[in-house]
Amino acid sequence: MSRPELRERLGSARVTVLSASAGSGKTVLLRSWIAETDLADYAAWVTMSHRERDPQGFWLSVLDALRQTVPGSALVGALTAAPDLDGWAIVERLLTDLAPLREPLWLVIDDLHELGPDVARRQLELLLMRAPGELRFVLATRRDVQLGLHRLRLEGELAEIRADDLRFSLAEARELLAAAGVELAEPTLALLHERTEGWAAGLRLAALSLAGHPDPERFAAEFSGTERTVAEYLLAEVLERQSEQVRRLLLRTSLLEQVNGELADLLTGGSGGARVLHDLEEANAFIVPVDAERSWFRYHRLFVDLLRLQLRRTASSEVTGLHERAATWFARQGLPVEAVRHAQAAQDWELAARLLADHWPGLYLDGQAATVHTLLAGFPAEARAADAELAALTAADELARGSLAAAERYLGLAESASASVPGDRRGQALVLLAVIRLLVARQRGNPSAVAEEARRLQAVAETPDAVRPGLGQELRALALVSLGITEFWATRPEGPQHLDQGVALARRIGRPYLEFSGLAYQAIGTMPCSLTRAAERGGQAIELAQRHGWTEEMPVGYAYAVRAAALALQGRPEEAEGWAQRAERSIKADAEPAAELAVRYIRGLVELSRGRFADALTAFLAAERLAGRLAAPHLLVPSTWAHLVYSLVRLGDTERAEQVLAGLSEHDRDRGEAAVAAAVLWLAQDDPRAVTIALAPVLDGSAPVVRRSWLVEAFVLEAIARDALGDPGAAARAIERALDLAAPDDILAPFLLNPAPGLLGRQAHGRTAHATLITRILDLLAGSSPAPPFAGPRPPVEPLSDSEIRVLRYLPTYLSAPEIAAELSVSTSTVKTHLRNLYGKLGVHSRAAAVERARGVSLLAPSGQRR
Amino acid sequence: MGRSLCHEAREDGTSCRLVASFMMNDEIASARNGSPRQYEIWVRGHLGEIMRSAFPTLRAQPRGDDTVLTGALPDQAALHGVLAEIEALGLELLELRRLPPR
Repeated sequence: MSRPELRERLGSARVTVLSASAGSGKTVLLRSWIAETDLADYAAWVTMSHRERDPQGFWLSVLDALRQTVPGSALVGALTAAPDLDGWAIVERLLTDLAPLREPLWLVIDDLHELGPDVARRQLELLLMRAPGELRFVLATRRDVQLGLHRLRLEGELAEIRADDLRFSLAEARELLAAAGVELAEPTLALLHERTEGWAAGLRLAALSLAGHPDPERFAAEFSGTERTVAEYLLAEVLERQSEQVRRLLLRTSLLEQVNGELADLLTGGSGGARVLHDLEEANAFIVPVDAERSWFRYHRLFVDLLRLQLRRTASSEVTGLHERAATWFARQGLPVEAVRHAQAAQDWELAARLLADHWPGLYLDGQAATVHTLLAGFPAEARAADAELAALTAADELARGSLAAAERYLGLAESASASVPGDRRGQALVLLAVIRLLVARQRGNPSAVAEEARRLQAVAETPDAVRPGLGQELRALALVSLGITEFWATRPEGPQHLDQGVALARRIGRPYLEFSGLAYQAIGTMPCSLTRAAERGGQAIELAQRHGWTEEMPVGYAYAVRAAALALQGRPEEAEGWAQRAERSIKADAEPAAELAVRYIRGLVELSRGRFADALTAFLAAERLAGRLAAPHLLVPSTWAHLVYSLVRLGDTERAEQVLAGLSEHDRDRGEAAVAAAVLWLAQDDPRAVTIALAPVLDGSAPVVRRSWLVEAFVLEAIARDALGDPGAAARAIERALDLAAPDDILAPFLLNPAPGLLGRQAHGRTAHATLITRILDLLAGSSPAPPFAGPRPPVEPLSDSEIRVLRYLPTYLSAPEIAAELSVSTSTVKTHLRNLYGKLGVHSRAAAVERARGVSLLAPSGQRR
Repeated sequence: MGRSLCHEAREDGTSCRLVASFMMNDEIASARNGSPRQYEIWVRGHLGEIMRSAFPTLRAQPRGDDTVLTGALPDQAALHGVLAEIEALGLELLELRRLPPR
């Protein structure tokens, strides 16, 4: 039925809030508004179910809903769930995506009061403040929610519809009843209207009872005469009028969040459930479909709460059995969260624990850590401590919440309990425990402990019955990729093999996030051996990231860095620049130092390839500083030193270059990179003989290098030196060797950094297999000019911390520093400190400048249109 | 902050809106002490058997057109649990009173 004044109110302001208690008719009003104003393609609808109670789940639902609208499908990028998505980052990305919005787009959120965690509410509030004017919000809630609405009210941007507005007038009540096929005499109608006070649920319940009722006047009189609350009285009436079959179905399925025909039959022990559900929906009896196929339904909250109470009252002995049946059904359907909840409701802790443990890797990878937390809380504390798998999961949960000590305590409990795990589950339980131990050890950051846990994991994961087929494969894939990543950081040789297996398995079982992380690490791990393979892996990782919206997640930073490095080594610095910037943006200030080192190092490579030696030096110095903070030697450290020397030499500071070389550790000095750096120094000092002496161990292979490009460079320098020593034959052989090594991956950088056009020209006319390559190099050398001026601003040299970024996101709003502090639950002085640091890192002196600069380097969404 | 805020408002004849915070100093103290306190909660209408079963720890007595739920609640969490149930069932909350200790 139509309620035009209310409908008009819904469309009138940027933000509309419907705040009224259960059963007031909010949802029905919203649905009819969308239908009658033809907004279906322009309204994104989000209902709060248990999935949306966690911030990541909420925002994923919002994005999904937006993408189903016409404007949204064109603007809003896809985002797939991943273990640790940041709600704040999602909001920022959404603002970026929607900045070009030019037509109205509605975001409707029903049951907003269910938006549990404070942080999700604040994220929504930020979105409200910064969203473009064309994004309209309609929020339905049972109680007032803190969303800065008073500000909106002051600015005239808020429309409110409250309980009194939603009450049905006498005329509207008449219309509602008529639509249900109920015609009453005026006095009867008046009685009904007065007793229900125009309350929507009451009128609808009455309509259900009155449809085809033999004596409506008596009904109204009795109803009027009772003191009982409207809801309870009328519900009892409605139930009484149903057939036994329907009553049984309603009561028994009330303990479900959602119901379909099959489930209904299972719980009633009967058949024809689907039919009953359809009929109820047709009769408008508080049941709504939740999917397009109308196979799954949901009861109205108020209705189902009363039904549940009635079920408990009248058939309490059966409730446990019903939950059991539901639990097994959901388990078979692969719906673990519902299965666990019902098992817990039946107090079948054993079943619930097995289900949760089996499905944990999948839930973790789907970013449902918060749901897992809630499920874990549903177990009695003793169960969590006594069951090995539950204890391990609790440890992982504590880890996710930052309580390292508690995590380790639970690991201890899991260890003690592991002896009593039955044989058929033992292998898998041990793998689960080992994986979580590894994750905790990595967080602790103690390298020997990490290595120890990695060894343990490898040992248990490699036994043949370690994990069961099916769900066990997810655990195995998680184990392999975690192992591979750990080994990568420790530069252990097993790394690539485990990553290979992990990526392949992840691809087979359809776990793109694992595949993506594995590929990113493979990319950076393969760089030493083969640039082409590394770039290929990196490319695959980037493609996955783009497809799933993970373009800001940490692992992708490596893929960007690899691409930048590959391009830099191929002498394509302008292309490399964009990727290097992306890599730098994805590094957070508190990331692993090894990660930041890699990105700084690659920045240095890019600067070298553009001939900007001062900037290169800065980058390498930063990398070197980070190297000092590492517990274990890093792959890139020798290269960093060598490039440092090189940059100093090219800047003419040979004295300092000598000092650096002299100060190298013995281990680093024995490596090929140091030898090449020394050679560069000797060459700058016009001592070709010393060059050849320095290069000898590199050329004969006794001094190892991390990357083939160093070998190429060694041969180029050798060629130049031999040429200077008057040995053209040796020079030709050396340059040809360099070209041989460079050709497969197109490693042109060494030729560009150590120009020898005469030598190359002669080679081209002599015996060479690489005439085209030489031509390209000569062209590049000839056309090289001073690096073109910077196109576009550079990101801040020092990355922003998480807290600084959070403050940054509030800068485009009109909130003052104390107000921002209130939003973030920190003190005003903390916010001011962050602001100072922010301004410093961005190189600005005012808030407006900070916003502009941040927008310029894509740290903040561009500004949308505001009315 | 007085205990009878709601009570005064009712005397106007308007129905009472619940004031959000009932935290008073001695309440904090007793919450720390962990001793349960007696509460009276008034809702509109009479509660039938179904709705009574939603408040198993409280006694429901009709008073005029309304119902008063009486009983001991161990702490604030329990109190808010009862309030949440009242909201979920769409009952109109009229008044909340904490009784002085015996």
